[in-house]
Amino acid sequence: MSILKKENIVLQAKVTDKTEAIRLAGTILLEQGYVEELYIEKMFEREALTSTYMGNFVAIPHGTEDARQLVKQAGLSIVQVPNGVDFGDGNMVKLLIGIAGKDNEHLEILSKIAIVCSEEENIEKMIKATTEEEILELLNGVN
Amino acid sequence: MMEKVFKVTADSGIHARPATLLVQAASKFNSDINLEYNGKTVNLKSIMGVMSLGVPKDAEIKITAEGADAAEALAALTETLAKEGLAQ
Repeated sequence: MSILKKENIVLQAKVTDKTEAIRLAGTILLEQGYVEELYIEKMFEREALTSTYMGNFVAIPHGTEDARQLVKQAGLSIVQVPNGVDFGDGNMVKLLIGIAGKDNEHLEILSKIAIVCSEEENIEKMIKATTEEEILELLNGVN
Repeated sequence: MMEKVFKVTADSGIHARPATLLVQAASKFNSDINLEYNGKTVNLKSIMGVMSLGVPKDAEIKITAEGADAAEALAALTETLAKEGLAQ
């Protein structure tokens, strides 16, 4: 199973708050078979430590370090929120990239995502994408 | 310009949370602060930049600072790295 596939992407999501947004990102990882259910709780635990807001309208919710045993296979979920969701401190998030990483893959996945997201143009394209394929193409290198 | 070399001691390397903490610490200073690893240099005030390096355990990293508060910045970053058990 690949890290990122069409079924892991939700376009035009309507969420009322940060909690709902993170739960959606986590539920995709659960339903697609990447993580155990408890991983979602670990995502909230991690968010409480420090926000996973990365700048450029992007947040990368993921579990705490001790949650890696709850990851069955490395995977990503993408939630596009065109209207934005407040991540606190005035930070609006329009793209959530949920991450389930195992062992040392974690650093590599983060690095690849950061390289793609360093280009504001790439983020804008992902926020405006109307098909899953457009997002898959931009994050192609992560797979 | 001032610089200091560190060795990463954290098992998981510099992943998302440590990157965020370092950027928060660096952003308090006016100096230009960069992080070097494996021949690449990134702005230490950018989370995306720091994460893009994918710095693993045992890596040697160099922090450089240039500006009026460069010395204070390096001292504060050294403290953050030590306090979080990231590097020494």
